[in-house]
Amino acid sequence: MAPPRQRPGAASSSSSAPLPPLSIDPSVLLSDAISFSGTFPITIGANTILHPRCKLNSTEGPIIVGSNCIVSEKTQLIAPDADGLVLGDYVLVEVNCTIHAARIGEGTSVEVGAKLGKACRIGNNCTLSPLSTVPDGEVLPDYTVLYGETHRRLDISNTAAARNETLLAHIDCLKKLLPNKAEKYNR
Amino acid sequence: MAQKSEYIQTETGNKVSRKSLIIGSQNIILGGKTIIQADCCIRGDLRRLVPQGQNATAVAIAVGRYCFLSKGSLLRPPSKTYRGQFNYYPMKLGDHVFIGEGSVIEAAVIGSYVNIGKNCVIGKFTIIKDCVRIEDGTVIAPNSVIPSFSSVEGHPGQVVEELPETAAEMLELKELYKTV
Repeated sequence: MAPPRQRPGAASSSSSAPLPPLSIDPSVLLSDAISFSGTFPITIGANTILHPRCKLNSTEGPIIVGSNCIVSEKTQLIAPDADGLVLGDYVLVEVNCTIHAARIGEGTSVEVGAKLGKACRIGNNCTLSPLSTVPDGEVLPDYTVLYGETHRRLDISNTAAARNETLLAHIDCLKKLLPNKAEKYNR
Repeated sequence: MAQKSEYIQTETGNKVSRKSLIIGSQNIILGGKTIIQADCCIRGDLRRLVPQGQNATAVAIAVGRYCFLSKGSLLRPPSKTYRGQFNYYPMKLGDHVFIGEGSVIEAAVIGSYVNIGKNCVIGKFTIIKDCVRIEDGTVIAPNSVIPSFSSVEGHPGQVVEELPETAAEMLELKELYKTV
């Protein structure tokens, strides 16, 4: 008997290629048709949610996703180099983002369609508004808010703890709504 | 050999691309004569959760007639915390709604005769009234209300122009439906 394969077309390029080494916490919710590609290890922390059709590419380096994160559909996480891509805890990544960063700090939210350039480093508790872009190699300090075309400011609202709490409620809600297909990715 | 056509046609005249991604189809209502192109994603699975024993309508996304969802567009019900409970809320689209390529829609209500350009982001719980044009690349902030007969542009989106009274005729999509 052939080993169970991912559904053809679900993950176009990686459906026939072997999966990269995965180290995924049992409490992670993996949806249908997530594409894991590359050869470096991918680590995902507890309670994280991956929506259908998100792509994780570890061809250039390892990917580490922290605990209590949400990665939405059509988002690509690409490791920029051998040092890899590290997502902290409580990171919310919305749809259509392209993330080529080296680090995203704890409590940061990356909103719809943001593009993070190669090896940029995002601090803790930042907010990247929809369609914002971060240039290659840029370093954003903690509590930065990127908004409008090119505007920046510091978030002094002191709501980081409340945001994390909302994210936990969001994760709880998604755990009730989304089916867990984690067994599909077990090898 | 007969070529499989790209679209599957339903009884009510909806044409849905085989390459589109429709999740939670039991929570989606298409009014008829709606076209859904390739790589379009509709998240019907993000429905409203209610405590057990309560009756709730299971509709997450309702789409009217003659709507056109272009390639790579995405419909996603909005979510928020209300009375201490984080939840998703239903999304409703009227008739003759055009959604451009790569746009992400998280609105609560979109009226009829609305044209949304390419690569727009419509924020959570936005209410768009009838006869509105949204230009390419517009980002509409969450919870905004766009009045009727307006043209919206920019990042963040602002009303830049008023549309004429004949806007509904310009924004009608019956002809577009026939081309697919």
